[in-house]
Amino acid sequence: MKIHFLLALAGLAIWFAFPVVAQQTADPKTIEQFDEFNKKFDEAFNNNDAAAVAAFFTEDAVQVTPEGPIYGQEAIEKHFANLFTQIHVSEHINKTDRPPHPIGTAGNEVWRNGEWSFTLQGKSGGPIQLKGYWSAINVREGDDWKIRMLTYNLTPAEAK
Amino acid sequence: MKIRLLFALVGLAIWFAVPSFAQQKEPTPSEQDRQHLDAHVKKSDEAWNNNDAAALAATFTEDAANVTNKGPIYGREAIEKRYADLFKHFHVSNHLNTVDEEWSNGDATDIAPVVIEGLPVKVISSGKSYKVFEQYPWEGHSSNYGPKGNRLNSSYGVGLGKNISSALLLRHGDWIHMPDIGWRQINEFANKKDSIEFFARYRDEYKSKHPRITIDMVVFALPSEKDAKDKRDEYKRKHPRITIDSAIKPES
Repeated sequence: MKIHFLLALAGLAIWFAFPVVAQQTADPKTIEQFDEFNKKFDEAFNNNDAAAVAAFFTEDAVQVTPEGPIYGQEAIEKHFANLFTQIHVSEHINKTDRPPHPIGTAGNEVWRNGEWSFTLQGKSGGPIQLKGYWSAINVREGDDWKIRMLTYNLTPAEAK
Repeated sequence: MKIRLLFALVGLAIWFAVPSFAQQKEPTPSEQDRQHLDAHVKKSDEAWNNNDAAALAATFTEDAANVTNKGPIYGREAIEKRYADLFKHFHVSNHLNTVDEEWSNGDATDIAPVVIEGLPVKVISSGKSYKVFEQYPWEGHSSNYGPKGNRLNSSYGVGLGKNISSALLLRHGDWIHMPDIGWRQINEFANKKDSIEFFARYRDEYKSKHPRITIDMVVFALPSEKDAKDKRDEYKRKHPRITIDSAIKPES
């Protein structure tokens, strides 16, 4: 009886321990969730909808731009609202380079990286295509994934 | 004996399982975490300033990704190779990584103190401020001046008015530092003689914050024309005539 109990306890403990060792990349469900996440993120950009873009960030998010960091969802929304009054964004494509990497073992936090590109139309000129690379830390909030930190850069344009 | 083995197995499994439970809670940085991060930042700065690729790579995890503006570099080994290559071409000094008050996110002055061939930063105080102009992405401008491939860039490039260049003896390729903006490399002539031109992503991105700015430090990235001429003359003096003792013909 004692042996059975200990075996069960060992099994349970190993079951809990397993994710610590095994989780080097996210599970298929998480990968699928991020495919959907990227699609919706692109849609928000292509609709030039600052509130929708900002909704992808957590309240305390940081967006690290080449010009410096922007702190908080509200400031990020303001930044995009200002941007979308100056330019029109289309063909925003956000690609993830590799599957999300879990941070820790709880399954509620991942880091990802990838590339971005979009077409920009200014009031007095364009269109021009911009591209670059990004890295992000995402956290789970309820059923959704949100961006806690997004760092992006801009690939210098090639000389004409 | 069997029971002892099982106890050991249970103990081992629980030891592995503990982090699973412990990390359910939202992590908040403790004083110890901060100290570790400060030490990490210091170590990284030291590695940069020693131009030590291996030490710098050691601050990354085995499976790290270094996201550059030319694309990601995966794995510590590849990151070390990249820095080793970089340090062959550049000497880096005064590397300073500062962490913002918010945890773990910081401003790095990676670009700034890349002092080419060991040329030092010169602190200047002209006491003058200059008007800011902006160039926008949709203008699609590419410069005819300066180094090949020259173009203003939101990350590092600025255009400098000719009067400022003359007053401070600055040329394309040199770096200027502006308070609240940081280091930028001169790779354009600005349209106005007394102005500095920035690449802005939208109207008034810079002008709203900095209608006028000052320059407080410069780095002369290239030797002056006089230095270059002296070097050429010295070479001529040492080798008035030379011979060719071997040649390699590349395969076509």
